[in-house]
Amino acid sequence: MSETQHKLFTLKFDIKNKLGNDTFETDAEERAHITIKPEICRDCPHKKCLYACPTRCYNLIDGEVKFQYEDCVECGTCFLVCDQGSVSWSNPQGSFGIKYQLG
Amino acid sequence: MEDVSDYDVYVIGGGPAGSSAAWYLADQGINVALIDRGKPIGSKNVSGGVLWGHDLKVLDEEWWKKAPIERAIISKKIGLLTEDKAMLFDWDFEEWGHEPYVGFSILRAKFDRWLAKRAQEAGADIYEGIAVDKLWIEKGEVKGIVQAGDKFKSKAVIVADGANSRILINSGLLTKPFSQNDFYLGIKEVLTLPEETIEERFGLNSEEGTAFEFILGGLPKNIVAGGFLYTNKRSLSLGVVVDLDTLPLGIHSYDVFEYYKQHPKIKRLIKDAKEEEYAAHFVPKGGLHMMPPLFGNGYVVVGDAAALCFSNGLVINGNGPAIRSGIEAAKVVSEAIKIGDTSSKFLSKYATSLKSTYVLENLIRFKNVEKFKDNPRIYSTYTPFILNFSEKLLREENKPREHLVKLLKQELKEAGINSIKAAIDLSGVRYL
Ligand SMILES: Cc1cc2nc3c(=O)[nH]c(=O)nc-3n(C[C@H](O)[C@H](O)[C@H](O)COP(=O)(O)OP(=O)(O)OC[C@H]3O[C@@H](n4cnc5c(N)ncnc54)[C@H](O)[C@@H]3O)c2cc1C
Ligand code: SF4
Ligand code: SF4
Repeated sequence: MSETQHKLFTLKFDIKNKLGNDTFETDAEERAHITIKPEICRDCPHKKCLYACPTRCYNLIDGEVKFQYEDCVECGTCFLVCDQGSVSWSNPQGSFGIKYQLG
Repeated sequence: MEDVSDYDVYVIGGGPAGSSAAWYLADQGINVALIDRGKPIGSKNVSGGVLWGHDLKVLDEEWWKKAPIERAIISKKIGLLTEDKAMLFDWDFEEWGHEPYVGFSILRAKFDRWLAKRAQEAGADIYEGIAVDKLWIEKGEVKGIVQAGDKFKSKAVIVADGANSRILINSGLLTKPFSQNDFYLGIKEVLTLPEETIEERFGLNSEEGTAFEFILGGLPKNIVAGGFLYTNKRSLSLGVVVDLDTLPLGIHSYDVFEYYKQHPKIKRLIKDAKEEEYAAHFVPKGGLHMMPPLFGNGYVVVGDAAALCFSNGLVINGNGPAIRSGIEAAKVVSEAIKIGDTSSKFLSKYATSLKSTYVLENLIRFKNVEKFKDNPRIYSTYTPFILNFSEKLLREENKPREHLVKLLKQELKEAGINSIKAAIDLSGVRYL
């Protein structure tokens, strides 16, 4: 069987659908704890952030990598997989961000 | 943090490592503050969730009778999964079901809140919902902490901020920069199911729990990943651990989780369970190569921040080492405060004492375990081979059977397995 027929390629679901189950405390001032530098992303050879982020905060829109921090669960993955120096990463201010009820 | 008077010790992070340290210090009468960015404490934290062992006994002889534990683990299952096949080894240990027990499933948001509360009851001051920026360092000496740009003085600091230690990064205290080779990404979902259904489905009595771990074999592009399933009182903790380094472009990390969740074997186990919460968090691969310095002038590092998490490919044990390292650090720090010497030389006693515990002992003894468990052929070649071979072996058909050896040879050839290479790979089992 060829690799591309593997079930992993044919899953149909949208991760965003289950993020509604999570609790977030949003920063009214909308301070982003993560930022990217678009000019670096433009020339990025792999754009691995698009795939590695477990909540799909990185999306390719009209050929450009766009980041939204709203669903971020603060795992740190994007900072690790970006070897181009585009991601500035810090913890959200105070207790803003993900609030696990179970963990 | 305006009215904060100076403390003897700041503990940054209220996971199992930090709260255990703060509890111990408070018991010793040390003036200690525990600061956590979660509000309430625990709301940023995730684990699979089994807490193995009794490291907490030092703090409370009968801790588990008071802690919000889910179930006592009485059986263990380790399996191999490929796209349409599954194989499971299943162990029941009667002695695991009795005091003193060997492990408990836990949900960290509840558990960590309880642990921090115990530290508070012992006399620690707790600050929730506050993220510390970094350590306050002058001339190579840690003087205290920096929070929102302000400096707060202390005699010593315990760094317990977990796997993604921004404190060590921001303070320039890592030995080498973080790399995707050093971490797994853990993705987890809690699924609710009635208590009776869990007990019936998994063959458990009330209060009893079970732990599954799987090798996810035959994934495309040599992805290295494992799965787990633990039973809680009224829910299941289901998750995968993905080697980020092997995650290919085009496949999302959460696809691996969803694939696992939709595997026929798993589907039956989680039937009718309702999605409750989705989470993702780093798991340090652990090991000496990625360990930051464990101490310096005026500070020590504990738990995941120090990469003390242990994993041999079949279990992740980070909660226990976090607690133990927190306690070992607190013992040395409390002594240091009492005699007024928090120099690097004195605090080095922490590393020495850790070496005499299972925490560092395991990491040293198993330092080559990566070689075995991250060998992609275990996942991409041998797991599918074992399942395909056993399927042919076990299948009863109304035609003559092949001899075992002939079938094995045929199958090895078909799977393209080079027996010399396989022998070398499997000799890696000695690292486990
Ligand atoms: C999916 C998954 C499954 C796992 N399964 C298991 C398992 O079954 N068994 C097991 O033993 N281990 C398991 N582990 C590992 C275990 O979770 C960790 O080893 C353990 O949590 C480490 O504890 P810690 O106290 O060092 O860090 P953490 O638990 O990460 O705690 C760090 C704390 O620091 C706080 N913090 C962080 N930064 C700051 C800051 N700047 N200022 C203030 N506070 C801060 C955080 O809010 C948090 O409370 C698993 C991990 C994952 C991700
Ligand atoms: S990996 Fe880094 S540089 Fe590349 S697209 Fe993502 S954020 Fe930009
Ligand atoms: S920290 Fe994790 S969840 Fe947040 S954007 Fe980065 S990868 Fe996504």
